[in-house]
Amino acid sequence: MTAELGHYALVLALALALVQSTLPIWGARTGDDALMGTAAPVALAQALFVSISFAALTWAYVTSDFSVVNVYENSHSAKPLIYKISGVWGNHEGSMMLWVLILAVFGALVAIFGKNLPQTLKANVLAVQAWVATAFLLFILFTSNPFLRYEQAPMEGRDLNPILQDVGLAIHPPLLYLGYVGFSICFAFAVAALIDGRLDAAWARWVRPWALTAWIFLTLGIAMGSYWAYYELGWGGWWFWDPVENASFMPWLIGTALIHSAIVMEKREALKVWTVLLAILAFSLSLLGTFLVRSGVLTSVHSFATDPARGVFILLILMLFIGGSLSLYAWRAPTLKQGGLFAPISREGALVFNNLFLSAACAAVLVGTLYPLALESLTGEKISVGAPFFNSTFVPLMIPLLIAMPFGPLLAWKRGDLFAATQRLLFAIGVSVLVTVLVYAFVQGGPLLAPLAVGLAVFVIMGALADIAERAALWRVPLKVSLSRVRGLPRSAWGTAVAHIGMGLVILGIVGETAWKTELVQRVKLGETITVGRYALTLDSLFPRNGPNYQEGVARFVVTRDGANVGTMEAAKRVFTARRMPTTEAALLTHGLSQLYVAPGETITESAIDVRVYDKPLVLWIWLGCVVMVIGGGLSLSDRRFRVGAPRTARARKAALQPAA
Amino acid sequence: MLSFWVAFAVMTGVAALAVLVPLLRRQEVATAPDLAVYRDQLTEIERDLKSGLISAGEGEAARIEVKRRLLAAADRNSAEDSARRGRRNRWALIACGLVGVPLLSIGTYFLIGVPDMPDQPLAARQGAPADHQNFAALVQQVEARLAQNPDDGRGWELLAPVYLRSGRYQDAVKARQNALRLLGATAQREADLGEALFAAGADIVTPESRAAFERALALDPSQPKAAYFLGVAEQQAGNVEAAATRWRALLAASPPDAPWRGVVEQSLVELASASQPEASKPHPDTQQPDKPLPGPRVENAARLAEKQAETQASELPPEMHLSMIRAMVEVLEQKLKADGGDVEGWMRLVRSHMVLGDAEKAKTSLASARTALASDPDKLKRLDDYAKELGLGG
Repeated sequence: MTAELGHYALVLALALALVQSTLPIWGARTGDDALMGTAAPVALAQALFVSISFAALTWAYVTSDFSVVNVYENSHSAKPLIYKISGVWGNHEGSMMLWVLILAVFGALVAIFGKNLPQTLKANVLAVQAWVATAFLLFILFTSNPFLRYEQAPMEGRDLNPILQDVGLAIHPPLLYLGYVGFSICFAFAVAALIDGRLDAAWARWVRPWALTAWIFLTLGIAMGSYWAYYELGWGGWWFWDPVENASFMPWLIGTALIHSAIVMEKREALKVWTVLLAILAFSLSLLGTFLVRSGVLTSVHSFATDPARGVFILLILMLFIGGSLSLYAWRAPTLKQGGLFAPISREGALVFNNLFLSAACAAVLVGTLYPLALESLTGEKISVGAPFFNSTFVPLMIPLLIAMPFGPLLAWKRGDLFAATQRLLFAIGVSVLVTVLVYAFVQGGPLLAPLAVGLAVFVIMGALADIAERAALWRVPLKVSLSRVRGLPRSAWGTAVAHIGMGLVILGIVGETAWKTELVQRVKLGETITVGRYALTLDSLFPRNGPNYQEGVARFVVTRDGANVGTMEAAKRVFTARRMPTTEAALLTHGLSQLYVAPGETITESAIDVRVYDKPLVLWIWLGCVVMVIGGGLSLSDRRFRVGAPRTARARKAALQPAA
Repeated sequence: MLSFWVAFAVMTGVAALAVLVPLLRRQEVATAPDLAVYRDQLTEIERDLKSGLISAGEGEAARIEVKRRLLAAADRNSAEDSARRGRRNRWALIACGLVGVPLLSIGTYFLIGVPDMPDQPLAARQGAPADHQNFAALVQQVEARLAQNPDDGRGWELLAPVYLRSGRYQDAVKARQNALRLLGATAQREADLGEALFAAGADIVTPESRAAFERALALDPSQPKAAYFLGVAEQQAGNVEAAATRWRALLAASPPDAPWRGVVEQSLVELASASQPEASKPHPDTQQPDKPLPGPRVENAARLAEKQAETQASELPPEMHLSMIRAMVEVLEQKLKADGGDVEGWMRLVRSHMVLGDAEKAKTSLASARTALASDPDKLKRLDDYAKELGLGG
């Protein structure tokens, strides 16, 4: 019964989405309060029904109801509960369900928190949001319905793809989707503004919290996905320029540009047209990301759905939304009034610089991702654009951006003073030069440029701190005054600094990992000791072990560093019973911010095992840096100015009620 | 089932209300929220001025800019307010809420859903006195007995087809090997082992399974299963001609009522249609890993297993016999759900229900079969004739 009610709830959500797509926008055109007023309650009801539907599907997974085809195909009764639940979105249909769930929840959030929005804007935003929801609900119900049933439930399910049976998968897609779908709100704001023809500084303030929210989740999602690939796929790297990774990285780059350009728009009402374009592009790339993963056009470990018929449907969705919104943009954007002027050397100028480089970087990634596809479909030739392409296009674009990063916050609006900013950064520059020299002097091995890269990372971090110091007038006023000024700083200033520090830490991690990692591939016999980087590993034992729905061969190593025991590591090869599919369970040993990584190779015998072992210094900074960035985003999101308008609404409501009384 | 329809009605009602409520409720309208934003920007400038972040000149310029925005927004708001008619379009709401939403959702759902079909969670299936449960319990009993007495070759032989059907291919291989070891080699047992190895090797005739089939043929050159699978091996190796030759020879040697004839004939047809449009077989290197390999998939193997189980079942104790038929019916039902055009399959399903003494189910299956085959009068006629034979006239 629950399964069928879930199915019906999804159909109801579609009907409501259709209502929400039409009535509010009609009301906004005709100035009809009642029609516009349907937007919020209908959005809430739509979210309710999508949630019911998702809960029903989850219930079917939890109770192993194999009469639901989707559950039969992707679950197994012996699976641990957490993977039964994460199995819901570990497949095509379920992940689409998660997509619309998040979409509906975001719509409901706009309905709830959008009280401080002008009525027409809110109605239009929710209507546009419902267009997206309608398209995806139709897609689910008619091409990827997770509620199809078997009359007689099969005995046992076919189990979830084993590489997806992991905590990482339980968290990674929801985060990524929260990011992707979050940009749909920015998109809805952009399209609503274009329809309405109203685009001003206030718009930027209203859209920025949503952009920040989406960006925060996307950052977390990407970091999580990278960590998942790092330890679950057993490849030992943290980023592979895999098309699916790129698909999530492109919206991130544009989204990062968006949250920066929205600042300019909010402060100076400049870059309006550009900001709207970024909002459209960020969501378009999110849709493209969905398409790249789902249609099976790309061969990738992530493409667990391989179905061209669905691809055609998604292609239609893409054409409709990307093509439609860009056409609307081309038609309406020229009619928008341009905003304030500024000199090239100014805060605005620095942010434009940031936007240009981020967009260019995104373009480079886009070319590298789509060019092989286009080539294959035109000529049938298969090429693979790997790390070298991205290293020679993306990385050079990032270096000027990182060098400019500390300058931006120190420049004044309208007309800045580069010389004065440089003076304020002298300390940061000094520290980074010093660190570079020290690294040259004391750290052996690694590429010649690595110490410079470390210096750059330190410069970014110190530059962010210099901004805070500057705002606190450190050393210029008594320390006590400085401290009270630090406390009084707006959260957005802290947000900038912390996020920029996070970026610096990520660079530090990347440089440490790529420049100074040591790698060893070797067959190890029982009792034998190998030395990798700073560690010595002894193969202690080899034994089989049974898990709930898998069997594994385990290799246990005892690890010492400078003679001191630092722990044991268990690397394993797992074979999942239902699908008879092997997975590699790499073992990780965290030591400070470095990690020792052991991945078992193909052959395990009674007395020996092939292993790949890496010593990766500073590698944890890559992900911890992302977390720091996210904290920065959160600080910025909690800034008081995003809460502006709420008290006004209360007063306005009273005012509105008076004439009625 | 009543609760289903109650929930169904409540949900429909909530959805309709969501559209209707705005009619009944006064709108909460935030007046001029943009002015609030600009006023806040002004206080922010004051704050920056006080903390010395910007100079007095900069502050003044910024203030003028924000004030200009404030004026523009106020102008636009008053213009919009006068343009707003505040008309309440009740009819659109009522039409949408009361008629549109329920009609659309109920209509669509009845088109694609299966109203009031019960859930079948694992717990309920295990707890219910269903056939499956007996069957699963039976399997467990046999397994337990074998654990105590692993030299019971007959037990292994009994379990092997069950394992094969429930996808436990490695267990099936082990069971077949044990039976072979304990009961001695026969052509049938070698062929069965080969089949289990085939299934365990993801439906590829691996060298081991090929060896088993060859041993079977060495013992009995007319062993049909071994002959069939060696054809599959040829096909998978790309030797279409050799595969066809083997299968034709098998057909020639089989009696006209042999249960495997259909499988072999169909394989031949598939072979012909697969090799026709593309004379050259795809090169193994260029093959997508996720594309199915040419050759019969597990369906064929399952069908063979089923035929064989049918013949074996006749030698089994009666209760085991029934359970096996039931399990087979389940496999068959799923297959027919995926491919409804298989008239033989439908006939077998109807007959199985009759054998199990469930005329009701037989009639239901017959009805489903008629729907599935509606577009094919020839097949429909065959089905109807068959039903008459079984005394189900229709």
